[in-house]
Amino acid sequence: MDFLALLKKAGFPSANFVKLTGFKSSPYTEGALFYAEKPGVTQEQEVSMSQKKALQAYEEFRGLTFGPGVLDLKTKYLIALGASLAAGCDP
Amino acid sequence: MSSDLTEKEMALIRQGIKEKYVRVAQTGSGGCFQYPTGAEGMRLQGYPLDLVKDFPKTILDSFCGVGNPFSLGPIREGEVVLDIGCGAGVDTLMAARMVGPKGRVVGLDVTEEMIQRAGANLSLVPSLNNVSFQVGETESLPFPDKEFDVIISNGVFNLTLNKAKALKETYRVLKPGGRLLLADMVLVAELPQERAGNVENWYQ
Repeated sequence: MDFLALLKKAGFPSANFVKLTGFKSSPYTEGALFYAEKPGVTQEQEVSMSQKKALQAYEEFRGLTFGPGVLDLKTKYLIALGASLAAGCDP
Repeated sequence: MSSDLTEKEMALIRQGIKEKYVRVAQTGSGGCFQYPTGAEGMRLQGYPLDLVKDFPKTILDSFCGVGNPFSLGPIREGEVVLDIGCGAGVDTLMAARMVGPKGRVVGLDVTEEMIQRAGANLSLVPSLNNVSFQVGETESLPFPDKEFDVIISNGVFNLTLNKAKALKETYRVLKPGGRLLLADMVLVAELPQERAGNVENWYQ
């Protein structure tokens, strides 16, 4: 089995032969470059996913708050404006 | 393939590899390889030499890689890197410069003599304190699962008898999403019949 096939079998399905390097140790062998990634979620992607979840939760909260209820929409917006001014947020 | 070799042949190959690299560790790479080594070899492979211009010449002289793993993608600040078959540690020290003080690099080699030489090279760059070297086998990596963001290796897996096992070990110690940046020797022509069975071919 060639080396690329071994890489794929070891768990690197997207492993790539990139190029020969030009370094020859004999007439039969030459340096080569291979790139492979272990499938799965990186820490960066995990953070991004958790941010996405937080954003989704906020959107849901906002939707429910401003949705139909006892108070009309105008009153709700004025309460939100008052709360944001009291909290020091510039609207 | 290793499955075609007898136990005796495999033992001979392991012994031959160790003897060759003990010799390289003790005498330098000169004469042991048929391709350019040292700083000239690094320059030809496009290594970012600016990054290590403060390294003493003796470190760069130890280089005998077969390609430039760093050309395969960036190594980022703060990452944890393993150099499998680090030899005298030139790639290890370069990776240490790339990950910076928030990152960490481990160099692993099969011979004690190479690890001593890598340690001697490290001692020439006192500003690097994020590097460690240790003896270990490629086919049985002495690290926990999912330890490394990046694994680099240069001219090593071709010497490994059980490549499938060594690659599975590499997979095991990489974090999910981790990268393998690999330079190695491959066959580009059929070996002549009279040489195909030579045990010495394994580590020429």
